[in-house]
Amino acid sequence: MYQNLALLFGKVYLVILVVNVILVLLLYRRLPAKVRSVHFFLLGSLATDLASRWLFYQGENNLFLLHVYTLWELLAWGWFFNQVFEHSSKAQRQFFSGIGGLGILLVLNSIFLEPVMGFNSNAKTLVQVLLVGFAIRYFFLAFGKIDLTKAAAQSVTFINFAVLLYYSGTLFIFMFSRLLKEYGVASVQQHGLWVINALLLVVFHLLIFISLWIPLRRRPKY
Amino acid sequence: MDTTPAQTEILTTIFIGIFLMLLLALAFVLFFYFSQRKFQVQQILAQEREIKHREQLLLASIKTQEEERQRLARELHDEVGSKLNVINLGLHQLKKQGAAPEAQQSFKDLFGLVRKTTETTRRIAHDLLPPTLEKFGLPMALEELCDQYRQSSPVMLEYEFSESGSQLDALVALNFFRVAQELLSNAYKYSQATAIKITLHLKPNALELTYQDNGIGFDPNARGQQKGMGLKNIESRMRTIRADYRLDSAPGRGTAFTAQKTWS
Repeated sequence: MYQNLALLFGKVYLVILVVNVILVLLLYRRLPAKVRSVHFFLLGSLATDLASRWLFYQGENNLFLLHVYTLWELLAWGWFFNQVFEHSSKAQRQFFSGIGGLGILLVLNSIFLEPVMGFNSNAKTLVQVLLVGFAIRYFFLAFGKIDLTKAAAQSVTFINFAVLLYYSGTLFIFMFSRLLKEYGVASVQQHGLWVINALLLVVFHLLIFISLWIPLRRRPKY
Repeated sequence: MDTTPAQTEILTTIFIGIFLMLLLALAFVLFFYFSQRKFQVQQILAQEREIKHREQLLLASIKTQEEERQRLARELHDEVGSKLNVINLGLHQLKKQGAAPEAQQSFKDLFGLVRKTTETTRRIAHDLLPPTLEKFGLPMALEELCDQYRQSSPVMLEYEFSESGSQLDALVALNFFRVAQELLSNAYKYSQATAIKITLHLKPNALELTYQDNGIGFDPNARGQQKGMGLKNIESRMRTIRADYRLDSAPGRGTAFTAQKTWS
């Protein structure tokens, strides 16, 4: 039952992701700069998801895509948060150096510590904690300074809601995924966790859909 | 498939962890959302209080200005005007009592000076508070105002008054007069209009003033100096007497203004 539920949520999530990608590509120019910078992440997510589904149906191991996806996640969200935080050029360089350094660490982790054909719990946990931290930082910086009646501010806030909810909700799933394998927990018993992950993905992409929709439905006032 | 206690423990830990993290994230998001909304409402309330305070200041200054104008007009008319009449009479008396022939020119100069001073005093008093407004009412005061502008400029100024009978409140009349004065003054100073039309309609339970010119117009929503004291005064006066008003203007499209005060 859990497996069917996970597959159903997985399909729903894919539909919303496709809609989001179409929205962001078709209406790219009409979206505020900060909001449209999420397109890197969405394109990467769709590409990885389609590739992993194809490999799954071929009966191939697709876990190496999780390593690629984790790196992509870091870079794409790094780009988004760099736009959101509006750093000075010096801080921007430092920010990108940090993200780049972390990216190298992820690659080294995949080469030496967590083989690409297995789960990358260390890398995924690190990236998720970082993204949750970025989202919390956004809320602290934004408090009292943003106007939630304005579309752009509302959209960016919704994206941060999505990041905070999804990455903190699934933190424990990815943190322990390698450990579960090492402890010999059967994949059937892990289905409950993947249902939660798929459900949170649906919520995550729904929130991103709302954030893309808000600036489009509001016409500028003259 | 049976699970070992260690496996059960780790699965339970993960589920509890997920639940707690989601709870924390949700609490954080809700706290942010409601705090931000509360903060924003407080900011809006503070802004509204500030606007109201400024409006009250403006209304008070208009009221004081009006009272001061009335006081000055009366002082000029009653005090200075009557004293000038006394001086004039005294001079006539002196002349009758037989002044030296060489003093005749000085008398002539003094009579001229007294006459001019009397006229100037009357004009200033009239500008401060037109006696026509008090004696004959708003329609006549506006007619007189338009006549003054017609005499001083080639602009085609049309004035129409229609009445279907009603008693007009003095405060309403005074404020409508000041608004018309302000509109005409602005039109002659800035609008470059060649034709202006003013209509006044006194209905049984309403007074309506319309103004229209074919000048260069302006953007009423523009911030800063473009929305000068004149417009603010008009708005404040309309608010003082709780009249409805509407100003339509755009660059190159002239200006139209309508004000209506209704009463039961």
